[in-house]
Amino acid sequence: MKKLVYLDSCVIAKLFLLEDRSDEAIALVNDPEVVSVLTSDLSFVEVCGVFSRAAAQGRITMPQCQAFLAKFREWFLTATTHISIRLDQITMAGAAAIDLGIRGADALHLVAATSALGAAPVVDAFIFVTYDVKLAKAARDTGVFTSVVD
Amino acid sequence: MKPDQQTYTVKEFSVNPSRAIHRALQGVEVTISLRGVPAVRLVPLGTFRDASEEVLLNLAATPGFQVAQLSPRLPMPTLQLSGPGPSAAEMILEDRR
Repeated sequence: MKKLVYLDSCVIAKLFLLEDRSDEAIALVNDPEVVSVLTSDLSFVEVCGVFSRAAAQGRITMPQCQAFLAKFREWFLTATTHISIRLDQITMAGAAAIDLGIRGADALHLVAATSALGAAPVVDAFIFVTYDVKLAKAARDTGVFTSVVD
Repeated sequence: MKPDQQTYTVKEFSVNPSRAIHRALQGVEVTISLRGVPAVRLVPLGTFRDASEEVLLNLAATPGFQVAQLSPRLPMPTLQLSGPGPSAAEMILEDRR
């Protein structure tokens, strides 16, 4: 079985920080049936932002933060299929935010994920993963994903 | 057809062009000769794992997609946030509000 998995940034954060449900996130990226892990370029900014905030609050040390950023950057650039958001998708995301009643960043993730639908016919499953209940509901409402994990 | 446009038969090439493209997609650099003279070199833009080639090629053809070249596999993380406060995932959701 060939699977595509789209990861929201809150799932990606759990791949690099040990916290609740990290084991589930790791199992997803280590699933041998997953052909590619997809995410938006927006995830890179969001995850870096969280580590910066954690360092500023003293919850990780600056050397830990810098080591993480190097490791995360390498993984993101080489091991994920990352999606650059185009101008027309920003327009679509704006419309989605209004139509679905979701936040701007959520809408950008949803539009980025659905842009992979061109490849969906050649996979057996296209899975959207987020730990955000509202975004998960919006993803289910699109009806385009084989399953939504939240 | 334009007056200056040249057409060739498959037999004039050293290898079947379709097969050459297929080999290039598998990560092999292929030189094609025309009438015995090296004429075209196909350079793969990336290498794709065999079983997933069709999916990855579909993704690569999608505008704005930078397709992964390596496996996404990761070990369990060991770094934890210290002290009280929201988890990293919760901080991301807070930042979006």
